Amino acid sequence: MTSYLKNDLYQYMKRDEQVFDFIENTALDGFWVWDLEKTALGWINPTFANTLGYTSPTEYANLMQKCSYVFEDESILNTIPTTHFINDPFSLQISYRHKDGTTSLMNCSCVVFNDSEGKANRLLGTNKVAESKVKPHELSVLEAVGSGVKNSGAIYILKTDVLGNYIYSNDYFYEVFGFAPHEILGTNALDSIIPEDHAACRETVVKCFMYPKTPFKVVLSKRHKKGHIITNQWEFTGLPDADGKTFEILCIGYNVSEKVKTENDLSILVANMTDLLISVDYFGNISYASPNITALYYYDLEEIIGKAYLDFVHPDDIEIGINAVKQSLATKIPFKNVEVRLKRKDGTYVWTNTNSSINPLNNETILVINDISDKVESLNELKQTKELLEEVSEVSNVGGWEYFPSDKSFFWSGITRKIFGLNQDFVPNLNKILPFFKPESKAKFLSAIKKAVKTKNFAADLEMEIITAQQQELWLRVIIKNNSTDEVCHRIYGTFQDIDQLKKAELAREASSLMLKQIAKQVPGMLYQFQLFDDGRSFFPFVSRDIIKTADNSNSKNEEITKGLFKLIHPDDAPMVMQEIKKSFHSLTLTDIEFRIFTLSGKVRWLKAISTPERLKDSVIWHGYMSDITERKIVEQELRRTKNYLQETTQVARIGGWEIDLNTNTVYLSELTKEMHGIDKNEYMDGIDDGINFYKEGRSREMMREALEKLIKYETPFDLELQIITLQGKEMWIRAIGKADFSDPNRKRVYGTFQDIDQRKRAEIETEKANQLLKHLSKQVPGGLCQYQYYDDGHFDFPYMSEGFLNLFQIQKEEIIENPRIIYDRIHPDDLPLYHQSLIESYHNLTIWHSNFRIFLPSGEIRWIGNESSPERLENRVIWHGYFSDITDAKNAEVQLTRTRDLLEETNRVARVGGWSIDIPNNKVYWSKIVKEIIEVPNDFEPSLEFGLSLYKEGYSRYIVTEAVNKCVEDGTPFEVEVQVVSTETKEEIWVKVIGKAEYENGKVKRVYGIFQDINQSKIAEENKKNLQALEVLLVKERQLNLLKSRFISLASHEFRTPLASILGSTDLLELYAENIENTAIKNKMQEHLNHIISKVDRLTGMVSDILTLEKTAEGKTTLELKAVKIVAFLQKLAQEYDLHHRDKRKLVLILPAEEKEVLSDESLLLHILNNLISNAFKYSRGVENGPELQLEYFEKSFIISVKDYGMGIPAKDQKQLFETFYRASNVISTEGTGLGLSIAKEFTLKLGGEISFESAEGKGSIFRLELPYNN
Amino acid sequence: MKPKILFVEDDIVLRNNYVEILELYNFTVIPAEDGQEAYEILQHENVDVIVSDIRMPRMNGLAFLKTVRSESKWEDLPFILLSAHAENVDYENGIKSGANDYLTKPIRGKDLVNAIQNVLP
Repeated sequence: MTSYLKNDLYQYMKRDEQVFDFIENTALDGFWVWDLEKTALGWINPTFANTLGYTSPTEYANLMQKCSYVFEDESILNTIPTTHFINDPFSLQISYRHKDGTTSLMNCSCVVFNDSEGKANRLLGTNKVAESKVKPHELSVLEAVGSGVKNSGAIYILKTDVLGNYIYSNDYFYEVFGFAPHEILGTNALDSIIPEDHAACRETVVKCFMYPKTPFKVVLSKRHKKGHIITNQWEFTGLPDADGKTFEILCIGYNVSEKVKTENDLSILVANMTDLLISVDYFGNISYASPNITALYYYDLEEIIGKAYLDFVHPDDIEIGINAVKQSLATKIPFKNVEVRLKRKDGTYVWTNTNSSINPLNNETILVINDISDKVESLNELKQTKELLEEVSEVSNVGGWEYFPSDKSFFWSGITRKIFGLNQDFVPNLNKILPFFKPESKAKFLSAIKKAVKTKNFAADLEMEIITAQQQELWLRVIIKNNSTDEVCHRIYGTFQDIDQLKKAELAREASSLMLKQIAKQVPGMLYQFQLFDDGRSFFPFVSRDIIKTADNSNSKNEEITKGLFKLIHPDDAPMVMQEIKKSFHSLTLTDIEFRIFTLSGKVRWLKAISTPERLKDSVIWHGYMSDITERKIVEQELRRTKNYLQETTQVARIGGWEIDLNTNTVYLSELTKEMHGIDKNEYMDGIDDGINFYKEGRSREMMREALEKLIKYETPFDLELQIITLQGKEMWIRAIGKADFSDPNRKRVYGTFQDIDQRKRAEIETEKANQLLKHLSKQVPGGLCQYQYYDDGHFDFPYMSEGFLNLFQIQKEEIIENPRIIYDRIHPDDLPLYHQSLIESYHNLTIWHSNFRIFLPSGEIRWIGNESSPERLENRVIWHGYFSDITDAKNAEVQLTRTRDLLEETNRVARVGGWSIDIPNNKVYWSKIVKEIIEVPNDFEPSLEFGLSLYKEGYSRYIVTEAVNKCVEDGTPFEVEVQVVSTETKEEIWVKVIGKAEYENGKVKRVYGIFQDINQSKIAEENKKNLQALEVLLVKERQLNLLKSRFISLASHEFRTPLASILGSTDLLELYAENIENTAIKNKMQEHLNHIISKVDRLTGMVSDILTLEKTAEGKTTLELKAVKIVAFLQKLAQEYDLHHRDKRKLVLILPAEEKEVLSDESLLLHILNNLISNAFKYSRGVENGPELQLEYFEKSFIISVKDYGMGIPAKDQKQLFETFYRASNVISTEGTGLGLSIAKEFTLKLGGEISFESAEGKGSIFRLELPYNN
Repeated sequence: MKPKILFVEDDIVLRNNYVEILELYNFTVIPAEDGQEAYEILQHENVDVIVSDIRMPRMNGLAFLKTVRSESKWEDLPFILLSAHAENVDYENGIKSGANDYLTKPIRGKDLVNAIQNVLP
């Protein structure tokens, strides 16, 4: 162990108090001791280890095993002179490596100790974390970087405090998000982040707190001031305070909205397609499958990826499949229209039409698989359309032309005409087309054409500007070629491509890349020479003019002035100035010092002194330039405030700076730039060429060379994304920005930034690849993809339309963008309402928008279009990602098919005929819906052969069917049997007719299928089975009768009452007049008969109202009126009124609980039920001494009211039908009654959510129980 | 003074029956065959109670009731509906429209008399 070094140090300290003082003063952040005899060994004190992040004892112990790890560059130890003893400490800056791999610069003071023989054997280093000190040259580079980033047109830089409030933002952020600084600063960052991303944002911030200085990536969507959303890739870094704790968060980001949107949109679009896309690698394995595979073929993506494509092909089709795929993989020639059957996960096969294409990116074969099961007939037409579509979409936006020098005539394609805004009538020739070119372009075009006529195998790719017939300025990419092998060429051809948008964007970007203006302006200053002799004397041999009037000693050249001058230096800066001079004296490096002086008036001015040393015999002389930079310094201080951000920025965003001093041809690179090149930070580049050679040979190097040339010659700035190869041989994408500053002829320089965009570029390339793949794929799809937006205010537009979509509708993209309503003109008026309705429905419910509609093509042809689009709700609109396809043929077939199918199903249903089949290879059994209905299994039931056979009635039926099926499977013998099955639910025995046939393939039975018919009816009762229609007629009749009955009952009950009232009135009158009859006998007799009449009228009235009530209840017309009922009080009142109105000498016996409860019920229905039960109880217990009892009992969930009598009871045989309408027990025929009362009671009880039941014994009595819920 | 009853009923037998019964019970009865006629009578006759059928030609009982109630002088004039409609809804409708009582046919003479006496001031 190295603790001996520690012991040694103790000894030194004991010996010499200075050692202790030295450590105390300089080792603020710890120290280390090195064994100069065994350079691998050292000892680091715990404080220093802690500073570097080794906090636990274990970590410390591990570190002690290899102390040298802490030096970023171990060799630094060798450069420390061994002559600096305790009274002569040596100071240098050392870059230390932290535990986490990051490095930091510290001021290290070193002293050396002797062994007993006077030989240096121990090195002691004490450390203070250096204030971020930047070397002068690097500072200017950094400034450039800083203002470059500040004005960055690509990167946002934000800083927030611990609470997430903005404290800094660069201009780009303001610009992109539309906020002014005062609207942002001080507000919380979360305010503008969409709520869905809050969690991700917070999580990232938490990480920043936990691990300061480590960047964390997160994608967040923020709202623009106007509300739209911009998605950004961010990198958050916690900036630590002195304690190492995060106190601010630096956020660097760039816009990825486009990327994210494209990715999302395309994947949604692809998911909507009905075509399956898969990609097959060289080994025939599936490497990509579009997500709709789950919907179409039921597989999960994971189940498919990596599997062999052929595993999914029907065994019979494998040969076709193998040939096609093998050939395609081997020859890279795509195949078309290969028809194979593909297996779904459920074992069924789908007829597919498969086209392949080669993905140029990875040479994989892409298969576009289209389900043609339903479309076999229309396939041919489909193929033609598909080819047409492909052709049209390939050539879009590029027009062709041919030129015949003999007569200077041109042939122009339709698109070329479109580009120039000319129609078919225009006959192009050279003289006629030249005026369309702008002067410069005209010359370019003409000279290219002339050259092409004279040159063999000529090819040129140029950009030109034209003015179209509509006076529109357009940028074109012009390709000019000939295939001539002769000296003189007779045909030149090429293309025109509209690149206007592209070009304009490019120009705009160039114009907007602002020149860096914030360069320190050097005010006219003073030239001087300063000489320092080896013996320590110093003076100014030459001073051009007196810049420091303050010194008040103009033109003096003696030592006093020197001393005087030095005295004026601000005491804080004096040691630094001395140190720099000393350093330059030894190393003869350029000095560049900035320091403060006091003027005589006491003001502080900043001076900058740049000087080049020259070694003379006994002295060093500096030739220097000194200037007052106070103004600049003020600006700089502001810059310095942001310096920390910038440093962090450059670290995180990996932006380095570079500068080339053209006067000296010296290249300065910032550390990060060096790091990116893989150059050691102590090394330098020899010159411009050295730098250029880092660029990857070919395009990158050429472009950089050219850009630098232009920059140096013409001050043309550049901004390029190029590839470099680091010293370590690693290829890397960088963004290089270059600018020139020739404002000072003595210091002409070019400078710029250097940004590591490798990851971003790679991501972009990957994304681009993916997009290309998708685009490539979507091109093959027969149909169109589009995005459709319907705004809440009712207007709509199409943000995206694929070529296929436009072709489908035969609409020009421009037309539809200008006027989206044009789409309505295409749609058949009959289908428009439904189209609109389905759209609105989807808009409101955000359900998939399906619609099938007809469109008129410009040719007058009518096509059917099918659409399936998924909606997505955005802030003020709904956007659909849709797939439109031509379903004309399918639709025609479908119409017929639907008709036939409906007919068949109806027929089947009526005849109760179902289909079944058994696939022999996989033993898969299929039953049609009707079969499942007959044997009473749910529709989604999956049958098996064993289960099917087990359904047949044991014995004869099962035996016969099993035999017949086995034989049919074995040798294809058809069968037709009539047997019995037992239904699964009701266990009913049903007669069925089963017919079976075999389907052959290669001489073997492949499938057995047939018919399964329910013939039960015919077997049980021939006459019933005869016609279902008769039953139908009966049903209709019954329904009519029912209606009639209902009407009649309603009418009758009213119409009966009036005559009944008349009878009763007359009876009343007779009764009144009878009072006057003298003869008592007659009078009594009369009264008796009148009573009879009255009682019969009563009964008739009761019946009429019962029938009406029952009818209403049966029709569901009785309405419930629920309210709180105090049940005990209710029953008490009921009993009271009952006793009052019925003249029976017996009273109703009440058995009620003491506790009152409130129940929710309908009082009038309850009254009706109980009145009925009570009056029955009295009626059927006449002559019995004990009166009926009414009892109330509470239970947990319900209460029971029972009515008990001790009367005649109900005969057991009648009990079952007691509640049926008009049913009366056999022992009450002589008692009055309609047989309606209990029927109504039951209906009403059900209505109240309760149950009614009874127990009875003939001759002993009955008890009726009414169980009702508390809370209806 | 005998209480004066305006008895409105379109069925002539029934009307005569009840007029006779009520007179035997010592009321003065003015018969009317529908709401229209009854309303005309009301213009020049002061009555103590109105008993009216509902289903009648020209003006039915409910319309008549509403017409009567719409004039402030008859706001409190006792009005009994006597109808063949025996359902709850009818009853509620009648009471809601301002009837003092709602009786269903057929009804015993003495029950009608009881009802009339109940509503007499």
